[in-house]
Amino acid sequence: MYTVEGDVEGQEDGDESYSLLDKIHDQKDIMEDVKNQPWPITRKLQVLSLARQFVEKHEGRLSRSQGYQRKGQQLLKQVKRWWNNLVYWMTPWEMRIKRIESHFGSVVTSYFIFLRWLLWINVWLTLMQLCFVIMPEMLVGDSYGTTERKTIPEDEKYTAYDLKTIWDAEGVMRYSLLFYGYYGNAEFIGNGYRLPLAYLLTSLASFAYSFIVVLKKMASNSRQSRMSNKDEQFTFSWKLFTDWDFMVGNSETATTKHASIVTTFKEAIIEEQEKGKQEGNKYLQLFLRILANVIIVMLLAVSTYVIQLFVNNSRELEKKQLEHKGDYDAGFWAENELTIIMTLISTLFPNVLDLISLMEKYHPRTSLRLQLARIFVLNFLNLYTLFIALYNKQKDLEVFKLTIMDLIFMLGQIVLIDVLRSYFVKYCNSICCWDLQKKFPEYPDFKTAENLLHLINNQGVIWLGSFFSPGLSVLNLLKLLLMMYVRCWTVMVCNVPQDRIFRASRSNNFYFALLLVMLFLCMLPPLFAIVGIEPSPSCGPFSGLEKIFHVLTNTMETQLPESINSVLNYAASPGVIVPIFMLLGMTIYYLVSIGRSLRDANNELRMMLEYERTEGRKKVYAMADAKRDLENPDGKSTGKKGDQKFVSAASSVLKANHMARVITAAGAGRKNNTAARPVVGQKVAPPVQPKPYVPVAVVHGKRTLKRSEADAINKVPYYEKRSGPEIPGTNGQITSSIETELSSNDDDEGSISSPSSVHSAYFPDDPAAFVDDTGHLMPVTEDDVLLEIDDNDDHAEENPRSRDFQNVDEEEESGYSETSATAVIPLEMIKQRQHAARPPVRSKPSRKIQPATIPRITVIDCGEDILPEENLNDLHVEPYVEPQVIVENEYAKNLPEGAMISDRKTSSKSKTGKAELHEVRAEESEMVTSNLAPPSALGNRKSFEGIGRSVYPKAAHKANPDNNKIGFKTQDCDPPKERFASVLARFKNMDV
Amino acid sequence: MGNKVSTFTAEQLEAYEDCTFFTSKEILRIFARYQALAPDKVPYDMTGKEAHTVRIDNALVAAMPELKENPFRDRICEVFSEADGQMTFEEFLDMFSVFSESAPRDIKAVYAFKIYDWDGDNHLNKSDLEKTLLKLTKDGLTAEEIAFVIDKVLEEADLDDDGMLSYIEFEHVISRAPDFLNTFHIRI
Repeated sequence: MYTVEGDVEGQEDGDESYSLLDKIHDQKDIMEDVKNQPWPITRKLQVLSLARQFVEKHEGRLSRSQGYQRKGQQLLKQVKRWWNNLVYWMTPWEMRIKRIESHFGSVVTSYFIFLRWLLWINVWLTLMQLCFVIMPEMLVGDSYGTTERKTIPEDEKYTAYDLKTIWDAEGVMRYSLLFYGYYGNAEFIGNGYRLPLAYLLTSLASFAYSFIVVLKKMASNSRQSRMSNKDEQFTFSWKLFTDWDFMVGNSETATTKHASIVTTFKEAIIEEQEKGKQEGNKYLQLFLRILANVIIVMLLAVSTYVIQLFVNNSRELEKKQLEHKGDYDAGFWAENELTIIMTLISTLFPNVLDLISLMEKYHPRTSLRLQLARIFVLNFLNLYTLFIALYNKQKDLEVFKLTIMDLIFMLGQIVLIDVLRSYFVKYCNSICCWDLQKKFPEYPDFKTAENLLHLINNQGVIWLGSFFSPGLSVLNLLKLLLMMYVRCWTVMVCNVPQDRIFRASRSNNFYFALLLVMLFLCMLPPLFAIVGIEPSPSCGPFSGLEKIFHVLTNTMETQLPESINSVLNYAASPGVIVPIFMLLGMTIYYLVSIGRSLRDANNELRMMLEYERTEGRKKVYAMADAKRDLENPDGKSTGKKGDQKFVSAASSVLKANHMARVITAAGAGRKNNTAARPVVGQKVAPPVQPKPYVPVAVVHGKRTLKRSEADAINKVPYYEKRSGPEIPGTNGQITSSIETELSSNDDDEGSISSPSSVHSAYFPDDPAAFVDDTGHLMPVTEDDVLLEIDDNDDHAEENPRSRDFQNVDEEEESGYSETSATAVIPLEMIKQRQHAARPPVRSKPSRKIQPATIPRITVIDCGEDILPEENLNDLHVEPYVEPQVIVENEYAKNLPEGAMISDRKTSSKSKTGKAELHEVRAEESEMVTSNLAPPSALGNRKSFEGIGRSVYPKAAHKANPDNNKIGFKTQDCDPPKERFASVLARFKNMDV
Repeated sequence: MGNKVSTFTAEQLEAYEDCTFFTSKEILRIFARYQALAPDKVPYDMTGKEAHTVRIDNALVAAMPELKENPFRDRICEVFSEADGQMTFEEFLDMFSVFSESAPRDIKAVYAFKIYDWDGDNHLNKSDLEKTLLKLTKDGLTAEEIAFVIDKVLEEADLDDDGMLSYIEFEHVISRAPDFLNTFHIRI
């Protein structure tokens, strides 16, 4: 693999080339990743060009194969881009749909995307029919006029080309490839093509294909929507931050959007205010809802009855026509009444249903779904009534006519309701005495739900009819194409967006579910015809057979070898089928129960997550309370005093914690005496040193940290922020993106860059401290931390998630959400210094702080990326600077009057991105690892275990072998009761 | 097409492709849009330093059909332009890159936060939230309702109870929002 060049280099300084390779890889990572950085573009470009220069300059020194590799990658990238471009250009109607999207938002677009998807499926269905049924019959089958079934009878001949005849799908239409009746029943056509068999198999394959496609789509949809869980934890926040559709570019749409946002806000406010309030007229409401359903059932019955009636009428008409041998002319109405009535019902009834649903007073979203489901039932009942009551040999014609009629009605509806109405409104507005645009006719809106349902319904008709009419799928394809263009045009020209509020993204699978139901139900009649009914003896590919499916079984019997047939026979016997069905039943039962238990587990985990969050909040609230005390003007506290006040307030939170520890430590000494129970608040007069003032520092910048440093830092949940003196060349980009949510001081802003101003925080929390043998609280030593690092180094490398867990554990403990590269380094020397400066004193909890005794360590990082130093002179990008460690012991000197806990406001703009994102995901994955104990017990235990594991394993175990028990106690101390109660109440009210 | 090829050098285009989520074709299309905003100011030849020196007024950008109805249009331009009230082509490109469909949620969330952070203090405080809500509802809500909504938002999202949202808190909310990716993009 090595080239000559590489060899020489490699022999001379293998180490260097290795590190060079590493560096080049780093640079390439930067090049890959630069687009994902939230930097201003000038910076991105600079970084990119630097990285590229470096790679170009140094890559020649590496082996040539790597060069080829790089070239190959570049080529791959280019091909990928080219491919993306191609896909973009090839996707049909992409631009059209995008234009609609920019005008109408995502809801209307969902209709067109659905239509495109349906079209795509129909292309395949049509291709199947064309390739395996229509084309063979056309090319090698008996040609027109050779047999009786392929010839127009003499008496029909001179009307065969009349428009009316064609309209009825009679005459030339009927005796064509479009319909079942035309196909010959010869077993072979051409060079042995089994047309009847192919006919049957193609139909079955179409159903199978449709099922698979719909199910696949549903599965991928539900995978996508998995993230969005149902509990509306952030109702208002989501509305505020994500409700505006940034694609809206049309002023009317924008106005509507504003209006709809206002409406949803008002709804949500009312909902929130009425939560818990019982509705006054509960019984009346119930009565109205029952009444509405009764009316709807009656309506459905009426529509079924009417259709049946007209089916009978048309039958009688048919009889009469037969009697008169075609001379009987009943007129246009009588012949088309059935189709017209059906279309009328499907057009008018939905509006009636809409009116009825008004009195139910459901939530809009519920009512929309109900409405859709009802219309669906209506359409479906109509179709079935038609099919069952009509059940004669002309069903193929009826379905065909229905499809055409539906198309015509749709076009008519578009022209009348959409086009004419909008033109009328537009041009007659000036001559009318009221505002046409705002009041009565208005501009028509695009009824996404109804239109989607129409598509589903239409597809059902196709599935139902295509077995009896191979040409139907071709017709349908043309129809959908036409619809695509007409709808695209009308929506842009005449429609205004719907003001009804619902989100497309959530209803997606609902439509697919409807489609699936439709598919299943529409598959039944053809299947019934295949297995249950004797085919017409005079026409069609199956004439002469007893049952249609015999074409399959006969072929198998004659063509397959005896052995396979006997196996198949055996496989089809009840002895095999019954067990298989039982097995299937059991499997389904098993899967359903698994699914149920998983759902339960999911809910429980969500509850737990919520609970953990509230646990974490407790401490944060305590801190916030402390902050409030500080800011309380009545206290007239100066900075220093405030600082003490804060510390004492914060320490009160942890007092019980410390005490419990001390007690246990004492208890460990006299193990036998188990009666000495740790009781929080009991006056044991423990020798508690006030607080372990562990100096801490915040470090930033993922890249600049060596892993061990970063890990060490990650382990300790202490936060301090300090702005150190500016490092030359850093452009002021120092540290500071930690998002400690503790406190903030408005004055901090100005003083950040000043080297003399220091913002420090002491959170005398327990994790970094333990109780030593003498009962004094001690900070965690370096050894303790490092031990943990060694433990985790490999994990961090192999499985980034395991590191996330660590972070989460910290977070749970301390109530912060922070990043991977943020924390604190307590060092052995701190401890020593502390001892030196302040000998252990048995002090009361109210003891004052001596800040001067506290050394501080700050690690300052100067940027996020490693940049080649040789290019520094001519480009203004921060160099890679090793993190600096500054140890100070002069806190008091640097602490200005009034300087406060910490500066929370300086979270840098450059950071933000990835690390924090990390955290949220980690939180989620952490859910999965929790076990299923009841939340109340587990919440406490888990967070405590988290401390033990990730922060001070040694210390914790050394001091308290028994710390789980204490975990309960300590967590229960000093809750900000009111708030916590409200959070808990919310938690309890959650829809589980 | 001839003049388009010479608008940028191949290196420039490649760099833009690396720094944004666009293909070169889209970049050229976006340039055409940019150029059309101020035809007299923006040259066809951008091979020199024009891409980051020539600036056009944010007002022109905000008046584009893609942005003109957006209640946050001015703020968006402000976030993406470094100079006061003016925008270079690179910044323009960067803006639409962030809003493009292929930009990941992470980066979108960062910029959403910046956009909603009106005063630029890296926290969404009450006045930021109020301003966002006002832009969103256009006087549709009463003062009490606004206060109610803001309180609710803070109650839901403000984990540390400091009366404002930090980026982490914001991201926490956004990462769970089902619609954020659907709505936070602009097609150009």
